[in-house]
Amino acid sequence: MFITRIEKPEKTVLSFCGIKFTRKHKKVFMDLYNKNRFYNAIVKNNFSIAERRGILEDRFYKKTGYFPNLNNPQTFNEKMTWLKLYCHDEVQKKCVDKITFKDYIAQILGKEYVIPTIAVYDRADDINFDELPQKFVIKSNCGWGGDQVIIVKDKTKINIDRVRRQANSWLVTWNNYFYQSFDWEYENLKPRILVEEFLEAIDGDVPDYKFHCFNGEPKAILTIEDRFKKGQIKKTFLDDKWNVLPIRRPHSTVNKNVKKPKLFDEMLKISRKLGEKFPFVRVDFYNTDNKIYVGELTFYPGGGVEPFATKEWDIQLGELLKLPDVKEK
Amino acid sequence: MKLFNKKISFKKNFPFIKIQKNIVGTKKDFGHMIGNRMLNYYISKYTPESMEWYMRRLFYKCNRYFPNFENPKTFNEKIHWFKLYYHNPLITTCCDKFAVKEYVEKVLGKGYTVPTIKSWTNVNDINFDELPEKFVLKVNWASGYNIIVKNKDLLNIDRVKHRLNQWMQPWSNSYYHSFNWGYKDMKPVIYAEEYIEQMDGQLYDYKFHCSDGIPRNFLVAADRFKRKSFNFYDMDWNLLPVTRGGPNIRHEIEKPKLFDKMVELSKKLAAPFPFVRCDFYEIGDKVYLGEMTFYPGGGLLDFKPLEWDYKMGSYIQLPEKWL
Repeated sequence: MFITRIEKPEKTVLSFCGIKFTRKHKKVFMDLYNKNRFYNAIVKNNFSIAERRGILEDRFYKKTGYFPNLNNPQTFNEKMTWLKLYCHDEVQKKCVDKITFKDYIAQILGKEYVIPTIAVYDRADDINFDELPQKFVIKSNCGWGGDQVIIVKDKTKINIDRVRRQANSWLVTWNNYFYQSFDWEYENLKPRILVEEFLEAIDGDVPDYKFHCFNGEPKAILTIEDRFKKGQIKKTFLDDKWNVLPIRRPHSTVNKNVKKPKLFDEMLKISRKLGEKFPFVRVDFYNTDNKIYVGELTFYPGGGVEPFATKEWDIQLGELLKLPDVKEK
Repeated sequence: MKLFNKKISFKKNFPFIKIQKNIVGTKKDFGHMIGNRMLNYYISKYTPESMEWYMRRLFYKCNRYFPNFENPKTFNEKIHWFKLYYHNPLITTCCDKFAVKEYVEKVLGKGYTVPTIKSWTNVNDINFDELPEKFVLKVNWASGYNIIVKNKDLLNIDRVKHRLNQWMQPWSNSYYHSFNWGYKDMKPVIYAEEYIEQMDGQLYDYKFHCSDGIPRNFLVAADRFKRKSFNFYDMDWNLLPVTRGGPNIRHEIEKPKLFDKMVELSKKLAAPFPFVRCDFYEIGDKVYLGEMTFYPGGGLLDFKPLEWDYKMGSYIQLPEKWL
């Protein structure tokens, strides 16, 4: 399949084992990837928790390189997968959907901590571009990782049909995180389209702040810088007194001189307030100089399978978390 | 392709592409059709009625003639008849490679099976410090689910655990491979056995086809891991002109010392069944039972030439249906 003759030398997307893959190949990969999720949606949808566990353990070994012990979870990633399988709290369902999440934050903190919505649509045909302002952002309510987002900076210059087509592809049932890593909150979540206000202060390469709350206490903080520069992503872990921790994720570097944000104390206060109700939650902030927005609440960072550079740090982060007692184990 | 003419190694240039080797017989179709156990698991879970239709399709793909399951004549058809219409609960205990050891102890006495070291039901319970230097890890509910450990220090324990855990999942059952009924209600167990080897590094396997309690013919299997090869014999050690699942063995084979004892044992074991295949090893002065198989090759391996499919089938007499 991949050995077809290439006439013109094209720009390489990825090089692997001495072979340069071009854009053509990437299309093939993405096709296979989506087909796999489609297959999962049909077949794996109806599996019980014991059956899901087998598939997750398989995935865990392939990603992190060691076999998990879910009877007695010790490391951070093991505990994440354990929570995913056995600890189901209905409030989490509300937080995962980006539309109902805003109501939830407005109840607890207030409306000013949330990026205001302009409109919500069920179908891509319903989007009325005449109503919308000059600048806006279109999202789906269950997207992740900046995948299902379109930023519109000038309404007159976009191809409306193309935007509609792209938004329509998000609404397919199997285009859902549940079928990839069994995040139980996403099961039966109805995909919808959401239009938000465009904020210039957040646009571009602004650092992200992610507060990991262990049993309600923000004990570890992750900052991400230079996200859009290829090969220069900086991921730094800090403790709650802004001391750099020697944790490193693979394929990234540590920046030892991270600037402390002005509203750091308020961020701590907010994440304490939000983290009270859950055994573990990661609060993501968009930070400008004089204002804070809560981006999202993440319950299983990296799907519970993202590796650390050494296993020691996986264990030491895991020690911070105390698991709740669950009846059906 | 040009690549091959220049003798550039394909493996070095494309290490991520798996090369499908030329597999003897119909193994190619066999693997392609029934490889996806997860899909079979799903099908059997939700549409059990269509199973028979699915089996007919598989049968045609692998054996190249359309079967008649109601009035079976050939060997492969009769095996399918047993899958569909003969549900004797004793088959389930004898298919189970772990539970059969107790059964054999009752019928034959002690010392006819390879001794087990320990057994577990969950992968995380395994303590590798307890085990000896050489051993074999097995899962009971399908064929080929074994890991041979010759040196424990070189073992990647996480990898072994991962592999064992894959074999313990419900869709790894042999039932979802070729719908062998005997495995359907089985419970999976991991167990460690002692490592056995014959003097010259070979391990010959003597397999007796018994119908109505009498061994009719047998086959010898050799070169399990390099080049699977089989010889068919009748009970007087005459080589039969037939192959199934692999070519004939290249070198000559001597009659084992304990051959008469094997025949005796297989008569005892096969007595309650209309058809069974008993597998034996000979190690030193001892005979070990390998397994009792009720569905050799899943009924999906073809005989070459085809007439032997009819001849082998004529030895089996069908009992009444048991559902």
